[in-house]
Amino acid sequence: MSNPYTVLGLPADSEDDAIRRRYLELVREFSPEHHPEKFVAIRAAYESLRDLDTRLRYRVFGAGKEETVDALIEEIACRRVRRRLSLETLLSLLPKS
Amino acid sequence: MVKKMQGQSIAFSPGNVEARVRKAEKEGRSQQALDLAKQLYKQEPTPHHKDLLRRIYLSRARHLRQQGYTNDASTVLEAAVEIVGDNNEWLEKVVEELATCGSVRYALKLLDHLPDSPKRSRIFAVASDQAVRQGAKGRNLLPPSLQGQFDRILQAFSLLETGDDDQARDALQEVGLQSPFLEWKLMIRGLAAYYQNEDARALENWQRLTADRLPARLVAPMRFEVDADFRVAQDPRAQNILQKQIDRAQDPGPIQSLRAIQKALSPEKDDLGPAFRLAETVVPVLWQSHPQLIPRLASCFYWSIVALGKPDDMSRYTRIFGPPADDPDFSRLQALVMERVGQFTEAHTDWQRFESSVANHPQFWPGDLGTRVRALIWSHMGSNAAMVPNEKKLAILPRHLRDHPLRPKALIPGAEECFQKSIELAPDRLEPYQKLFNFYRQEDQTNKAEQAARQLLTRFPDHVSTRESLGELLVAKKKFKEGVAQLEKAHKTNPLDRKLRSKLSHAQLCLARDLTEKGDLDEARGIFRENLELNPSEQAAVLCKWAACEFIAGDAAKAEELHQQALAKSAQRLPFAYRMLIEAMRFNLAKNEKARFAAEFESALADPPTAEICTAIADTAGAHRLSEVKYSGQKTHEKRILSYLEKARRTVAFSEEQLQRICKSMLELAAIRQTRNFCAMGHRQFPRNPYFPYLEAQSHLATKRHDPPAWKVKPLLEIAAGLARVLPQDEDIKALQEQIQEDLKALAILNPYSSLFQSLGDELFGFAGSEWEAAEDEYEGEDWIEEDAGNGFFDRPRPRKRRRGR
Repeated sequence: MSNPYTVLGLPADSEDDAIRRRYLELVREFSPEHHPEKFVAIRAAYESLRDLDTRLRYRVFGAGKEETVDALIEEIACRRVRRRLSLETLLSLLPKS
Repeated sequence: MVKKMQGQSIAFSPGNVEARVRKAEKEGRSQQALDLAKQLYKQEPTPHHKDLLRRIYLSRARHLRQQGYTNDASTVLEAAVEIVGDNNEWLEKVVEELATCGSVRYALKLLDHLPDSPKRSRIFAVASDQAVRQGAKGRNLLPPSLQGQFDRILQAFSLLETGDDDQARDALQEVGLQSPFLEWKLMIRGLAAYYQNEDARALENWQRLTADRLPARLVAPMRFEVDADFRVAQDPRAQNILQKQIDRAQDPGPIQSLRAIQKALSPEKDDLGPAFRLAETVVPVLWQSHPQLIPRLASCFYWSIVALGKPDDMSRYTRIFGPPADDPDFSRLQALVMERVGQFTEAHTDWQRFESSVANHPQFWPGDLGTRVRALIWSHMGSNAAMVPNEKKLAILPRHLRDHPLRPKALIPGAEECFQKSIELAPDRLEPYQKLFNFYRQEDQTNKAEQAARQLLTRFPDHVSTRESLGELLVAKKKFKEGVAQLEKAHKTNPLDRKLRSKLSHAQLCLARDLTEKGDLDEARGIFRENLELNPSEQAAVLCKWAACEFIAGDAAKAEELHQQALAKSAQRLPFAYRMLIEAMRFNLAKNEKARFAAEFESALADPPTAEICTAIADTAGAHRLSEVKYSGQKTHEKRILSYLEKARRTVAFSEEQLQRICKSMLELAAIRQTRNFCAMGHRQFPRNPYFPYLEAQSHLATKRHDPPAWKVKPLLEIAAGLARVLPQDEDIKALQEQIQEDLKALAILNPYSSLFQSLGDELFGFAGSEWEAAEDEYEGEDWIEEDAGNGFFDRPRPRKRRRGR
């Protein structure tokens, strides 16, 4: 599971109300019929942050456990300034055969 | 034609040459296949051989193209068109292949001869790809009608490269939906989004590309970078190639080092040293470019230490990332490591250190948070302490577990103290109350459990499950009135819960019996009346009890009336008579009444058995045993019922469901031999039903729960699991599968000869295989064949008792 705060798109110091509001927004946007996987991820994220106790439990026993180097690589790849390539460069990237 | 070969003359045979053509083609010798096909056609110019030659020409051209010889491929095809180009269907394929090889002009010239070809758009698409591939030179390869669009594509590429994305988009406006350049348009629009780091929009365009067209191949490295699904869908070789391509196209920065760290942190590695060395070089780079990622990288290392680290890794971690803010002295990390390796005593000490650390760092846990976190830690410690078996439970464990050197020792402070401490710190948290209550129940400390449940309900009066458990606990303690009151409250909150209703009904009947015995008959009658409404499906049983109550009260008329009502509601005479007899014995009615019901029972037993009567009487007897009903003469009555059922087993035809119910009831009656006999019969008649082998396994476990004969139980459970797997997965089957898995797991732990324990034993005690075998032999010597129990059951070999001393 990814970081629940990231899944819900919330800062780490969010309170109960903000979390619930955001959860309801996301559930409306990603309904289980149309986005089953995303819905499951949102639900799981909400479950681990729904009240102060679950948030603290997550912070004490599981915060950062879901972090992977792969996610960091992806983030760097997504944020870096991308080099613009000419058609020739693109063609030169193709394997020879 | 006669050919000399190895001193023998072989006549030319078209069939033989054709076979050689096919063989050469199959083995990739396309030139040889072509030579043979030409020779064959020359000797016998039949339409069949002409078709073969066409196919081989095409195959040879493809082969050459795949090897990179596109000019040669084109030459082969041009020659082929001259010789055998009088078939339009084949010609379409040739044109497409020519276009793919780069002979666009010639391909389009040939296409003019195929005005109605359905492949025209595909061929134009391939031609446009090849034209773009050749850059500005490619323009002249295309017909004038496509040259304008071609120019637009090249222009858009140039604009995109210089960062004029909007103008590039404008340049593409002319490319319509029917254009062979549509794919190029999508690709360029995706690229514009990609350069602006709008990956979702880039993917929207790229996902619409055709995989075998050039645009899709050109953007594949970029798509590989931003599309996780696409990345996963590639085979490892393609992943490798695409990764190299994207690294060439874009500056990888710290990504390559992170990839190396990722490999070094993989769970197969047992040393984190190389990963830390890599981190030492990458962290300064990240500080410059992506400082926000450093805490996340630190998290990866923190949890890798928990999963596979060594003590040295903590100092390495501190050197690179500094001490973790929320665990500055690594006490939590050490506690988690100790839990992972099963060293709960050490984990307990480390958790206490962490708890002190939380208390001493209010800046990190401000306000109320610190206290709540400490409460959470104490509750967690309590759960760990509660897992360790107490002296009473140790006594019933098999010796190999009891005397195991790694057996967890009692933790100090114990579970009770830990939970109390947690409650003290955060009295508004429900969890420690619940855990404390469950702990007391598990330890059979009923008074303390009652007190804990009441404490919980004072603070959380709406907690139905605790109220329900408290009700049950009170009934078990014979505090029937209070138990019923608690269950009634729970039932009011949750009136649709069938299990809760049945618990309440049981509690009410216990209370009614208690009141009857104490002489408070009016109140008892009221409860019987209430119970009839609460539990309409069990009215016959309730009426029997009520009738017995009236016999005690001396109201014979009312008792007879109730007796008759019960009889009318009972579908079978025997279960009714048995129920009445039980009540007569339990209430210790007058001698003549007891004798009357005993006679009724005996008379019902004399009736010829039917499947329905057998199932009903087995259910009744099993249910009474399950409710722990005890009375004088019970064993005799149960014996009579068992022999009645045993007699029926040989004569009566049962349905699958009836047999299943009987087996379950037999097991509840602890009638082991009969259970196995019925299970064997059930399995013979209904070999796809998983309950029969499962219940037979349970019959073995019932006698030796802590020292089960694994060699009998395990195969039965495995058969049951296999049968359950192929059935429709409804609730019951899922529950059965879970139960089977739990039993198998328990068996592996309890059985000293299971592979799990054997490997542990080898490691811990250095036992040689022969010693285990000797011990197994000793077990095998036991007599475990029950008379008549499953001859030929499951067709597996069954050990026989060894006759020693012969």
